[in-house]
Amino acid sequence: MLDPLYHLAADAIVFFHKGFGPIFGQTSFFSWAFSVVLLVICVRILIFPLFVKQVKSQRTMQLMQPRIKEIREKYGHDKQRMQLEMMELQKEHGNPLLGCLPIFLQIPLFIALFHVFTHLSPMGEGPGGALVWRPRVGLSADQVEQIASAKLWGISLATSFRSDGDLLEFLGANGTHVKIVAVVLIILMGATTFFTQRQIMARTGPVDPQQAIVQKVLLYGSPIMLAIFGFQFPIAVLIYWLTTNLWSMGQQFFVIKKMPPLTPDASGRLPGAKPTTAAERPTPARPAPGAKPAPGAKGKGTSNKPASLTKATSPSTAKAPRSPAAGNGSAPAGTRSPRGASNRGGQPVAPAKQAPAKSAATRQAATKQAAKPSTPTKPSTPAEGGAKPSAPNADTPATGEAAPAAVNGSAPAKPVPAGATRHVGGSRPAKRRGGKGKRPGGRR
Amino acid sequence: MTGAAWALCVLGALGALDLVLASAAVGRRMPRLARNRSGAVRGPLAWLLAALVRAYQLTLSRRMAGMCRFEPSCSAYALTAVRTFGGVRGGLLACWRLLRCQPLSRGGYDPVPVESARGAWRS
Repeated sequence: MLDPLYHLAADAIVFFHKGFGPIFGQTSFFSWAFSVVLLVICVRILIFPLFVKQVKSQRTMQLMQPRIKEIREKYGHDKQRMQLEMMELQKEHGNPLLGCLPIFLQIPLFIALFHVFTHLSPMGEGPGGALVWRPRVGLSADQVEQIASAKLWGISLATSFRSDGDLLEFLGANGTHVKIVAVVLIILMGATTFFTQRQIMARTGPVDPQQAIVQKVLLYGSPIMLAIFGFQFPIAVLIYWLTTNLWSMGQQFFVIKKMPPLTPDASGRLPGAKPTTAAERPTPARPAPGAKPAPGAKGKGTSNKPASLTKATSPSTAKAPRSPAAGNGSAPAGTRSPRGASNRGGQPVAPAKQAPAKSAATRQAATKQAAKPSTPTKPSTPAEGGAKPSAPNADTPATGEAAPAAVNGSAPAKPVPAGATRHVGGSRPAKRRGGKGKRPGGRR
Repeated sequence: MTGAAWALCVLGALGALDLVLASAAVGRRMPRLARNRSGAVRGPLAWLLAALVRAYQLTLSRRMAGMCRFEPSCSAYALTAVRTFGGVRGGLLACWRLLRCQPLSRGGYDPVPVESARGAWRS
């Protein structure tokens, strides 16, 4: 069924050999070995975009998980509503998820590689079960012979730790050398598997105790299993495994460097987890000074879903330039409103204060989101941009300001009349200001 | 008979047994025989499939986490389906779900269907 793939892989080896042949010599072991390595690397490069996508969606899922749990608790009984909420949530985050099928699409590739590398050997079809060269996996008998009989110190790609005397004699290979090289390769393979497994554990963060045990078993078990299997398979397969292991190790390094693991913050939640206590709930949306209250602004603070976990954490980068596109009649942050009131002073201090406190992960997610086209469906006033994100990041100083604002009652929710001038720091509740000192500039 | 034919026969027998155990009639007459305490269908095929899915969840799913477009994820769906409907029907449901879990699909919330007439499965 996979014959076309086998033929493709086998022909690719021959093709690459055309390049390596002149360098290392046509009958050199190295030219064939490097062809094998290059083929494996090509396949891994081919599926690399899938890997990047997968890691990204993994991180999104990590962020979404608390929300999903919450939705399930809330609407678990109501299928329709739950479906609606899930769609909403996925729309909010964009839907980067590839689905499970692409994973299964990769499997034939690996099967094909494995199949080709195990079949580059003579067959016992001669008179009296003697070994003869036969056309295999789409290559002619001659080509198979060339590949399998290229040797270095009596080591051929077709020999394995367990290969019997007949094969070794037929190929003119040295059994001891083959065994030594096989053991070295197997040890390297086990080591790379071990390190990759550990990196994956480090990347995906803490887990529940049951999974931790399984992980431990996997961490030590999988290299051992691979090593046991390794004795059965020819050197070509060992080279293939070692190459893929090295490649996945490099991938993990790349991922860890580019996207550090999401760790729960001080309050024990992942960044972006929805606040649970009443004090931490997002404050009601407050219209920008000098702006018309957005239609339906009243009571929006409760009915509105909290800002997207990934998107809204960066109001200054993501929201502000987008607000005009939203077109709901509010003045964008940092601009003059149509009625002449300056917004600059009125903008809450929270976003500016918050920015440094943001974790690297969320900032990255935010910039990624900023690159995306705007989503006009999301109602966003600039003031919301200022007020909301203070809630999801519960560990920032901004919550201290947001909470009193909610307690103060109706005052912050009332739109400021157009043309009113506001002094610096005017968005702060009076209570807080009193505690800090009389002057907005701070105590002297 | 060749090995493949034997394997096919054994598989067919297991499938038939599984269908019988998961059927509504047996569930009503002999509930203890058909289902275990947590309501999962007994029988070798269902057990085998559930064990496979469980093994995947504990080992590989960590490496490939976050791919599924659905909630519950495909493996959780498969586990529930096999426990509820037995190896054959549950397995088919799970396969159908896997085929739906690709970039062309809508994703979202997609639980295992509940057989309301029988009411055999309560979350």
